Amino acid sequence: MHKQRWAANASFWIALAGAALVPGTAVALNDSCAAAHVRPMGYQFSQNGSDTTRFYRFLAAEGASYHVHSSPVGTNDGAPEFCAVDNWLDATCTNSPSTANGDEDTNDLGSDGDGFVAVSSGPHTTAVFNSPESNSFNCETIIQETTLFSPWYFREPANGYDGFVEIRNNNSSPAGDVVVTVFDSSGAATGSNTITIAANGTALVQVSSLGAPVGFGSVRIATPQRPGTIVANLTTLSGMTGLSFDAPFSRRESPFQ
Amino acid sequence: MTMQRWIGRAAMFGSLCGAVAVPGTAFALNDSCANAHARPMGYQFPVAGSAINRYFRFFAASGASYHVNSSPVGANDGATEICNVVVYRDSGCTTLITAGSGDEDTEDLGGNGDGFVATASQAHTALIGLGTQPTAFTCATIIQETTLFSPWFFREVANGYDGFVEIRNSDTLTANGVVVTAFNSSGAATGSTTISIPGNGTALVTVSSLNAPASGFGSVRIATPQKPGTIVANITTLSGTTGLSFDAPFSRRVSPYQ
Repeated sequence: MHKQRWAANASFWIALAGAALVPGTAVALNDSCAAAHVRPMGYQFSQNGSDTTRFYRFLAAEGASYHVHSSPVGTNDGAPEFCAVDNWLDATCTNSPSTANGDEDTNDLGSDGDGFVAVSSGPHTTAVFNSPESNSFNCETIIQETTLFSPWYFREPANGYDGFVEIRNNNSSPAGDVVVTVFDSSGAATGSNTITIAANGTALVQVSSLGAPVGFGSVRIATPQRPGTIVANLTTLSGMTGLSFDAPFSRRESPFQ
Repeated sequence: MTMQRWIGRAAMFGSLCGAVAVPGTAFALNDSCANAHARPMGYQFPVAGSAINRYFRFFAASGASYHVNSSPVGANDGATEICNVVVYRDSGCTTLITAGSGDEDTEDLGGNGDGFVATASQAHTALIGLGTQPTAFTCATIIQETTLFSPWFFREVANGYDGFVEIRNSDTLTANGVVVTAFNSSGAATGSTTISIPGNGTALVTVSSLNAPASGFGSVRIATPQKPGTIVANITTLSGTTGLSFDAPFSRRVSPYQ
C-alpha cells in the first residue's frame, strides 16, 4: 500500500476508536519573544501563515557575523506576498543591531534579509512576519553564519613581507560594517578595522596596519551581508625577495548547509 | 502520543479489522545499539520525540575524521530542548569516544556535537538522546566527514623548496587532536604529527618535518575532529633560493548528500 494511503487508513481507524493523534499538551505558537522556538544555524525552515509573526532563538558567537533571510513561497494568485525579518542581540528582544545590512540586490521577490556582527556570545532572537494575504503562504527562512577566515599571513619588515587582505563587495549597493580583525599565531587579536566597501568595489587592508606582529597569524572578516556578498583573499608578498603566496578566505558554514 | 506508539496503534487496529497495515516483520525502533539504523554520511535526518534514545550506524575510514551534530528544532514555547550525542568506535557500543571535540562556540542552542579521528575502517555508532519536554520535538542530526586534503607540495632540498602547512583554528577554544599527515606521490604516508591549536591561533607544519621525500611532490591530509569549518588550512610551497612560491589550499571531502 502506498505510504500516504496507509497513513490515511491508520488515521481513519484511530478516529473510529477515539484515540488521540497528538500529545495532550497545547500546541506551541512561539508568538511572543518569551515563547520563541530554537532553530539551528543553517537549518532551513518554513513558517506558514498570513498576518503572522513568529519568534525564533539561536546562538551567536562574539565577533562572528550572521544573516537571517526569509522569502515567500507564493500561493496567492499574482500577489506580492512578503516576509519581513527583525533581529535582536538577546533573548528578550530588547537590543536591536545598530544598523541593518543584508538586503542585497540578490534578494528574492517580497523577501527580507538582516545581518549583524555579534557583540557578545549568547542567545539571539529573530522574528519573521508573513504579510496579510487571502491565503496563508510559506516564508522560507534560514539563519546563517557569514564569517570568513584566512589561515595565514606572514610579516617580516626586515625582508619586506606584509599581508594584503583583498576584499570585494559583489553587491550593487555599498557594503557597510565589514569588520577585519588580525590575530597573531597564539590567537590574540592584534587589531581591527570596520570598513565600508563601494558597490562592486574592492578594499585593501594591510595586516601591518592592524598591529600584526613579526611572524605569522590569521585574519577574520565579519560581514553582516548575505553569504556570498563579500569575497576575499590574502596575499603575502615581499617586494625585496620577490616572493608571494596566497591564503584564500572561506566561510564557516553550519553542518546543516 | 509518539510517532512510534501511533504507528503501533495503527497496526493494532489494522490487525483487528484483518487489514495488513505493516510487513510481517517486527517494527524496528532502533532504541538499542543492536537495533541501530544505518545513516549515510552527510545525510541530514530528524529524530522526533521526547525523552528517547535512538541509535544510528555509519561507516568510518581509518585516518579520516568525523563529526556528529544534533540540534533541536524547537516546538516548545520558550524552552531550550536538548539533543545529546554519544559516539562509539564500533557496532557493539563498546568503545566510547571520550575526547569530546566538536563543541565549538558555534554550537546551536541545546545542540551537541562530537568528533573523532577513526582508528579503524569499520562500522561506528552514534546515539542521539532527546531531553524531556511536554511536546515532542525534532533533533536535526547529521554525521559528516571533516577530513581536509591538499593536493600538492613540492620539496627539493638542493634548491631550497619546502612545503609549509598553515592551519587556523577558527574557534575561540583550543582545537585538540588535529592530525597532519604527509603522503608521497605514490600515496604512502611518510610521517604524521598530532597538534593542538589555541583559539583563533595558527599552526605551521613543514612537510620536511613529516619526512616528505627530499626531492619530489606529494600531498597532505588533516584529520580534524572539530565541527566542519572550524579548521581551515593552506599549503605554501616556496624556495628562498629561487624566489618561487605557490599555494594549494585544503578542501573538505564532502559526502554526495551535502
